[in-house]
Amino acid sequence: MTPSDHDYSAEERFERLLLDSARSDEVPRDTDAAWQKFDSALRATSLLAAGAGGALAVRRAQRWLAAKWLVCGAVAGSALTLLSLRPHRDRPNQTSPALAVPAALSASVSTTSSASASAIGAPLGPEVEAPPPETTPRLEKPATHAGAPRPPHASPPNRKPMPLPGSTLAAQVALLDAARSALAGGTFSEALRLADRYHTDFPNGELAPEAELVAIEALLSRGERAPALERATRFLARYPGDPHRARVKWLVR
Amino acid sequence: MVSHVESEKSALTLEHGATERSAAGSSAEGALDLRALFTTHYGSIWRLLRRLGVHAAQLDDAAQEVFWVAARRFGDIKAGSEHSFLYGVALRVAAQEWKKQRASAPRAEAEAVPRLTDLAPSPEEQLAQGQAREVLDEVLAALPPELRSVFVLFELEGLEVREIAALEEIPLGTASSRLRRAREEFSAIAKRVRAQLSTQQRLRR
Repeated sequence: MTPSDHDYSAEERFERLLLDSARSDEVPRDTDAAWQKFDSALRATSLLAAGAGGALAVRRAQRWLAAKWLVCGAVAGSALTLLSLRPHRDRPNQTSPALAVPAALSASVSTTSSASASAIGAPLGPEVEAPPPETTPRLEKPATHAGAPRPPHASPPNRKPMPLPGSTLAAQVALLDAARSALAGGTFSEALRLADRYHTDFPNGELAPEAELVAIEALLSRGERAPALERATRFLARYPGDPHRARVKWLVR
Repeated sequence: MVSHVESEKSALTLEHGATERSAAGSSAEGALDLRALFTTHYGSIWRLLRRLGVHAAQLDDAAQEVFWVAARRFGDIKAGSEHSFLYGVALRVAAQEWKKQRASAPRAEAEAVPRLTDLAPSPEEQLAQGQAREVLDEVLAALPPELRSVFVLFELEGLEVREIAALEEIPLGTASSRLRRAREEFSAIAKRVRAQLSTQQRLRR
């Protein structure tokens, strides 16, 4: 039996409202268009993948595609030559998509294309040095590299929500993220500075306990136990029902 | 570990699948058809990435990145486990995006939580659906990444804890613990956000 709204506190109803708001999340409708772009990028880089994989059979299977692309490349190359003889009147740094593909294919072997995928996925073949085993599911390597072929940029209609003035939660999150990153990266002074800045910038911020936790951790990491203990004591007094209390106690135990 | 032969086979299947829609899918070995994989799962992966906090402007690229990896690792994907495989890759892509987002300039305040308009009895009644979704994004973003992904997978994607543990490559107990902590933190943050919204509302009356 589903409990009625009367069985929930106002806070619980608010949580349910937030979670329910995601249940009707839309999915992109034009999957076919996305596939076409993906498929085009895949074809354009399949030669490079075969080179990185080193599988002769794959190369044989793709030879016809190579020939096709070489022809395309020659045609496009000629076009490029012709275009290059014309005066550059507008945006000389912009690369035409039509020219970008043959240019990428002109590289006989490139490992950068596989690096993108292998940063997330598995080894690509016996000739590719396997990445070191990950100790965590998180990734250190960026997904893409400058100049590397990558999936197409699929027509992003920027669905940024309508600006809604007057609130600061996103800015709070950004500052807290920066403080956490500094802490994770070992720059404890920076983490402490950002956590303290949070309190200055957002004296009534909703994420004050989270920021204070970062500050306490940063102090402890710098070996400053006394101020950390002082702030931990303040934390426990100020936030009696906070879920971080156990962690704070554990940190200064 | 995929054998050399399997790598070749998978790459060939990939090539075939990319050029002929149904041929690979109907092969005797039951090889996966990349296009079928893409069209079947693209929407759910896109939505998962959105729920995991990938910014709207990066969603299409991030979703394509997931299938890029799937294409590279086609031979690793077992029939029947396509969804799990893609979810696992999506988690890693989202983690990368979080790092990029953190490294970039802080978002503009215009993207922030809405201010309630006046004369509404409570935040629950006042928040429109779209606004609630924005608030949810912000509350989720405030969770530490390792808690956020577990919370999203359980609460929004409806996965079981054991499935989450497998996807995150963590022990079952760790997944349970993270989920408990995530719920506590989500509740605490949501409570504070609600209080803030109520305060705003009172001040505007």
